Amino acid sequence: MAKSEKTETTDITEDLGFQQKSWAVQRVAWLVMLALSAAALLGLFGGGPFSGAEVGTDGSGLRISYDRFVRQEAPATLNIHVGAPALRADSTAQIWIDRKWLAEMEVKRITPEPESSLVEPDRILYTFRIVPSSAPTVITWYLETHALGRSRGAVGVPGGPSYPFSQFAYP
Amino acid sequence: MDSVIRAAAVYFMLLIVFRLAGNRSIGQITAFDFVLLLIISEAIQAAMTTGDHSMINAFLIVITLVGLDIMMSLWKQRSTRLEKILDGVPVLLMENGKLNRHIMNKERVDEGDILAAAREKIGIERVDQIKHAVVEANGAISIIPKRQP
Repeated sequence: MAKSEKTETTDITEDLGFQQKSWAVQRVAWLVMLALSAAALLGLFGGGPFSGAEVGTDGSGLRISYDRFVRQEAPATLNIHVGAPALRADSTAQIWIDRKWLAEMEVKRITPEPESSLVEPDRILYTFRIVPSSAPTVITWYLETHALGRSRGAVGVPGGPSYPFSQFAYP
Repeated sequence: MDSVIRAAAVYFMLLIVFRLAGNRSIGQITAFDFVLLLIISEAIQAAMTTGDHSMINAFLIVITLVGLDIMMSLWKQRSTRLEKILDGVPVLLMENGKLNRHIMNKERVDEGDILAAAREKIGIERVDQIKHAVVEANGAISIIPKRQP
């Protein structure tokens, strides 16, 4: 309060120097807020153009779309596109997902539902019955993220291609 | 992305609803108005978060709402027209000791409200002591007393 001085006409303790510094800090903070909102719109905090990512190709029979950025305690989805090369002779497709990654997720539901799921030591193997068609079949995992920070997962077809991916979960 | 868009949609929706509701409804807040605000915030909250309980979501919603408010205030400072549209304009309820009934009805203010404001702010006890009474753009009633002879 050393700088505070009472003005000549009133008892108001004015400290214009301090106030000018606050104004400057406020202007900078506004710009930071604007930048954060813009980054959020672009998807840097999940759910936007910069967040959506894909691994795999339709040619290999397996393509995975996921979010690079997710949020803890928030809904997330994992879309797996299963193409003809991944189908087996009996019109089923088997897909495995890394158990370590899945352990940090809560699976709300899978659409369409798998015919069966088999727990292996380090992965879960899902079996789906799929009518062969030219377009890949999309299977969606509706999840809730419990992870925090970087987590790595992998999806694959037994004896076929497998694709690792990495996600970052915000608190 | 969703958090920012949802917060912005809610901001503009509420801006329109509260502007259309008129000055007085929020200007002089009653106990029930306060309850109503709580219910409104409760109803809006679910639409904004949509099952996303992350801290980053709450943070983004807050900075979007506050940021929009700062932007609108900066814009209003540059445009009188926008300020009129968003905040309204002050109107005289009483001019030179004469009540303007038409404006009082439109603004949903009665003599009791003017007297209450007069008592509260400058300790005036009778209507004939008031020179001007104004509903300000923020919904508050200001009183200008007659000079004592």
